[in-house]
Amino acid sequence: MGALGISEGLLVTQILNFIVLFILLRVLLYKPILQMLDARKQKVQASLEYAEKVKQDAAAQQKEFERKLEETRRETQAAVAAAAQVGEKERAAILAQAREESRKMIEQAREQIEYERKKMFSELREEVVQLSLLAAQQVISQSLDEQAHRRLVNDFLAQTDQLGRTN
Amino acid sequence: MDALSARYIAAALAIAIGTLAPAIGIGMLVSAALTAIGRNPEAQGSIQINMFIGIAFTEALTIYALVVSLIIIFVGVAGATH
Amino acid sequence: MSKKWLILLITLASLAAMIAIRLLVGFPIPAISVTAEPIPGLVLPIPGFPLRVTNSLLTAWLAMLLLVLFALWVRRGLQTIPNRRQSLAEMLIEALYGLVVSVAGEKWAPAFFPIIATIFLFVLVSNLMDPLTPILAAVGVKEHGNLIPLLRSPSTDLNFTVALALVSVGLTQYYGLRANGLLGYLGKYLNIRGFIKFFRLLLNRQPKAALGALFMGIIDFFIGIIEIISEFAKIISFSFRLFGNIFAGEVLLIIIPYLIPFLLPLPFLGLEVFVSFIQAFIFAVLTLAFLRMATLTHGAEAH
Repeated sequence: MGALGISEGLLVTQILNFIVLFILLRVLLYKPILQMLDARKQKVQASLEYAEKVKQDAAAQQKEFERKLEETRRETQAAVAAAAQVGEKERAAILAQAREESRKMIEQAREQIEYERKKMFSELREEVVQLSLLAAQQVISQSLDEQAHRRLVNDFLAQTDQLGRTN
Repeated sequence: MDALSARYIAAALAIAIGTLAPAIGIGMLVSAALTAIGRNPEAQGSIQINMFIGIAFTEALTIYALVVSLIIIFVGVAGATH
Repeated sequence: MSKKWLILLITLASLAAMIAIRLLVGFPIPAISVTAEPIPGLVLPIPGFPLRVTNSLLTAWLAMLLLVLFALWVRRGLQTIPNRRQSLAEMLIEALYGLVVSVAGEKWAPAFFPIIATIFLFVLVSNLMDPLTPILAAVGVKEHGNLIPLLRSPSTDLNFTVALALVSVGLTQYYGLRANGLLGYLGKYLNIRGFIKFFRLLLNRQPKAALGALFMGIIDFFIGIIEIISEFAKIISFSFRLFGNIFAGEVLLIIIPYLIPFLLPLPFLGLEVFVSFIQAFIFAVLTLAFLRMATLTHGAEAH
């Protein structure tokens, strides 16, 4: 070993060298740099997370906005539809009322006409009775008693009645 | 041939012959590693590290020859050292 | 005149100057020494144990000083939003930490990372002293007519590499013990589970199954012995790999300029820088891989 230059003293010194360097570099180089790298990694991680959060917030807001927009659109449509329905109903009601009124007027007129007709008929009959009584009195004078007389008139009236009905 | 010359020749032969096989081995190793990198360039990093480790192991054999040859030259006979 | 021509002219001029110096002064034959040379007159007076400081030990201290200064320099302006100097250090630390996590997992990474990073940085700075060898070797102390350089890459000294290998393997044993418990840890090296099974089967009067268990038990036992040997082999391969690569590089860098001193050494300097990085990386990654293997709880994966 000696011939190759290995001696215990130098060997131990070199091992001590390594240990000293190990401790010095550990304290002076590795720890600060690794800590710094760690801190930076955390910082980057934090800002990435923050960015992600902001992005999510924006997306949520966008969604909310769209939802509200959709809601408003639907409400408007519903309002328009309701208004149209109301108008339609109103129209139908007015129409129905008008029809009813016209129908009532027609009815009234018809009733009036009927009434007039009936009245006219009864007046006419009364007149006919009067006339025929008069005429008969003129023709027959006192030839007939009261009873026969009335029977004759009634016969006549029945005839005229029949006539009027066929009319 | 005196003893000193025999020592020098022996030392030279030890390292010369001892280098042959590891040289072939390292050649094969690197060739295989390069083929692997060519096939799969993404794995270059790990292939290279393993290649170096393999080379180091193969080279260790040459190093034993070197140790033997150094011992032949320097150890044992008084006056043979510088 | 364009810049290109100016650069060419300067290069040619310096080449001519080098050739002239070489012809006039000559070039000393370099001395190569496997061992680190003790610096004359520099002895640490530790009581009962005087330490002769070698040039590689001095350079190791220099490397440590450089690393600590680097750490202080980085630390001074540390903030969440990094400036340029900080991002350099951060990139390095983050890449290493990522490597540790990818190999060892989140659980062990905080424990392993300082070890791996210190090994990597210390070995890297030590290795990078090696391409500087031509400069470092020029400054030295003369002793008995030989120039003893003051500085020499620590990685070319076996004391340094063996010390690191011992630290690496020692920590592997420590974390293996912590992860598996005393019994699990010892069971890996002294595997007598097969023998226990053999005796249990023998008591249950199942001789045939007992024989099979005995056979497997012997194999397992020897695998355990091989594990012990491989732990020691790790120390040797760790230390001599680093030493061999960097020392060979140093020799190369000394020899090549001796043969051809102009231009030719340049690519070798580049090569040595590359080797420095690779060897530091391999030392750190292998330590990491061994640590991970040691901390795998029993039965998860064979060694």
